[in-house]
Amino acid sequence: MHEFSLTRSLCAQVAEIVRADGGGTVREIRVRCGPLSGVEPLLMREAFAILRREGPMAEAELRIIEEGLSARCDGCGRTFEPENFCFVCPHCGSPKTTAVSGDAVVIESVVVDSAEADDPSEAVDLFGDPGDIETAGIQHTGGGRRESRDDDRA
Amino acid sequence: MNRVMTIERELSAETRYRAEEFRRMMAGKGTLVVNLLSSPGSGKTTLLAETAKHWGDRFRCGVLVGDIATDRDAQRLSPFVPVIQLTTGGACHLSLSLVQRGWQQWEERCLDFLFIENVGNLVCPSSHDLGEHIRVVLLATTEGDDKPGKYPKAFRTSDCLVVTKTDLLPYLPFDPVTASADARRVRPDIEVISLSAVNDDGVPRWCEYLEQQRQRSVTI
Repeated sequence: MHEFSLTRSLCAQVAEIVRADGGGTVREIRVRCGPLSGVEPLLMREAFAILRREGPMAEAELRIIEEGLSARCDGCGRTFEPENFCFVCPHCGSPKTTAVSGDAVVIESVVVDSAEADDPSEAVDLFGDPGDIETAGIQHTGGGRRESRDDDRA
Repeated sequence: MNRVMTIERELSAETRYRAEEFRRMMAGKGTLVVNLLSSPGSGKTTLLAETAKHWGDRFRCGVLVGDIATDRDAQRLSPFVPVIQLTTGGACHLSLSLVQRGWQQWEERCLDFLFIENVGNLVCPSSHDLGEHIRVVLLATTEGDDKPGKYPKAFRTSDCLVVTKTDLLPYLPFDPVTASADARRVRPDIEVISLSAVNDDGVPRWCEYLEQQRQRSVTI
């Protein structure tokens, strides 16, 4: 369920980034996530289909790149892929390891069409404070899934 | 004409920055912020009531209690500790904004410990930094000892695992060794404390852990 608020934050951040860079129509948003990102890509796409309707990303495509989990050992410095989420270093047995990928949601890039620059300030108002979770926003989920124009090819 | 903007920024970067500011500010005030995560019914409210009873007047505590509806937990806690109810209106976790809004009511207070009792849920709350100094996950003996592997993010992001309801161990197939070993696979340095709030077993150890964390993390 929290994918809705995360996607809302994504839209607000992209709108702000594009506005600060001179505006334009967003064509594509690329996002990277993994097994410990706390995000279900399907739910994020559904949320995006609802949230993108207005503003500069109404026709944007959300591409979600799913990456594997990897970690680095603080002891021996080698990297490894934690099998079944086991973060004990398989090389030296050290318990001190750090995840290096697959545990966050990363905004990779945005493709913007500069020719059709709208007034992007509307979009910033529409999505509000990034990271904030308003119950009013969450209640919108009810009727939103009918318009599922989003692209699943990613 | 299309242009590609490379961003490479974590979605939660801004929230994390705000959480870091909140954490620093609270540490400067001498307040240790503790975020409690668990499934519904694992004993968060009972543990907080017992913690307040154990300390008595020794420490000044406050609880921000999150629920999707009702103020029942706040009513249960209010005889023992000052409490502010945060009702999420259906949302499955607390956000930093809600926590800060609740905290505004207490800004003038000097607290030694601020507890955040999250919404009962082992999934979504694990993705949200609430500006806490330590994150604690509770696992009741009634839930099964295989939970850490099933909910890796909740246990991976927690500093301490509290196994609750140990007074029921004689009646359950729960193996505390299996549970802590499973948790240490996903978070090798996790602190494990077992307790029963009913017979006070382990509660002093838990309180001692909190006191040590406060000495380590805040300006006293």
